[in-house]
Amino acid sequence: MERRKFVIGMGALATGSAAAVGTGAFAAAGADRDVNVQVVGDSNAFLGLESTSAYAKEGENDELSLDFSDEFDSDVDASGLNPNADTRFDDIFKISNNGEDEVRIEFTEGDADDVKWAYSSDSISDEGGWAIDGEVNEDNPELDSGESIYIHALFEVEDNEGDLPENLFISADNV
Amino acid sequence: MKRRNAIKLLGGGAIASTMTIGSGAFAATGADRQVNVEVVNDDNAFLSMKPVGSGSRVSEDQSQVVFNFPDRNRRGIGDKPADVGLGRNSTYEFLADSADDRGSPDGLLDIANQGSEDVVVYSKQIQTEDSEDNPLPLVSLYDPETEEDLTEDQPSKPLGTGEDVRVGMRIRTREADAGELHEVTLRIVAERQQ
Repeated sequence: MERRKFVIGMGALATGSAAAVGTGAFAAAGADRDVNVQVVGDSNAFLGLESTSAYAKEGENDELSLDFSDEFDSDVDASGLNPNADTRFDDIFKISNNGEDEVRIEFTEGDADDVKWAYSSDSISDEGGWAIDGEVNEDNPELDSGESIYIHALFEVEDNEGDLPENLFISADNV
Repeated sequence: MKRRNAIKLLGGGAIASTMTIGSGAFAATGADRQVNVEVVNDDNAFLSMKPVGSGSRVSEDQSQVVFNFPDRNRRGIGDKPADVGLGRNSTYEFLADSADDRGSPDGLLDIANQGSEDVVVYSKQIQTEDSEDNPLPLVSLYDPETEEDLTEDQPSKPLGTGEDVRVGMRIRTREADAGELHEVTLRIVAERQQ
């Protein structure tokens, strides 16, 4: 709510400034205008985030979360990564630029020591090996309007705990 | 909560920017998403590995599977030498733990696929010589049915989600030094089937 008040305040100030140099001036004016903001699920957002694996879930309010801990299938009782092991997950989720301008992708959190986030423009599930285009935070891939990338993770855990992410802040900045 | 506030501010900025330039573009956006990652014991992991028998050739030590030949009960402690071991220039196949019924070997290790994709399993020895270039014993998982080593070129049958395979261990001692306890690292790999 405070943000809304602040924006209106700015508008009033600008109007006042114009009045000072103009003719037929009025001292102050205020006008309330409607601003319609459609909030959608992650998959349809300007920064589209869409699950492409069992490890990415669209939960409450269609908000994506990643889970490499709990059961994802009733047939198995897996609850995490092996200690002292490398574990790779391919095609976990897809990032799409559903806006109109080119954006640059950066992961500003989730960059714990024992995980590497990689990307590729195509799904690598059907390819041999790890046919990635690069690491997200080394390349900061740029997406044109309508373009997508798949995100993959490599966990390299050298002990019984690991330095692992708790959240992932995905930013898309205008290029 | 602070992070969430920051997003709201960023979101507000983006909306203002969009209005100014009058296109459908967004100047910047950010999304904070939860990631749950846990490291668990080998028996509970996506690549599940469990000792089959009740002896101590294979056991879980600090949440990781470890193999001992001879089993720990017979290995020497401190200055006391082991009373038994593997002979040189020999091939040994272990298909059951030391305490188990030798009449019906049931495998040494149970490997289960608890991930979401079909995988094949194989093993690969990291070093075959010690730091002084002396030969180490060669160690490999093998399939008791085919009696073949599980290698990258010839892995296990495909395992679907929830499926498992019981494997034995084959050890070729070669010219490894006698009277030594050789520590060998075996990489156990589960790969999505290509």
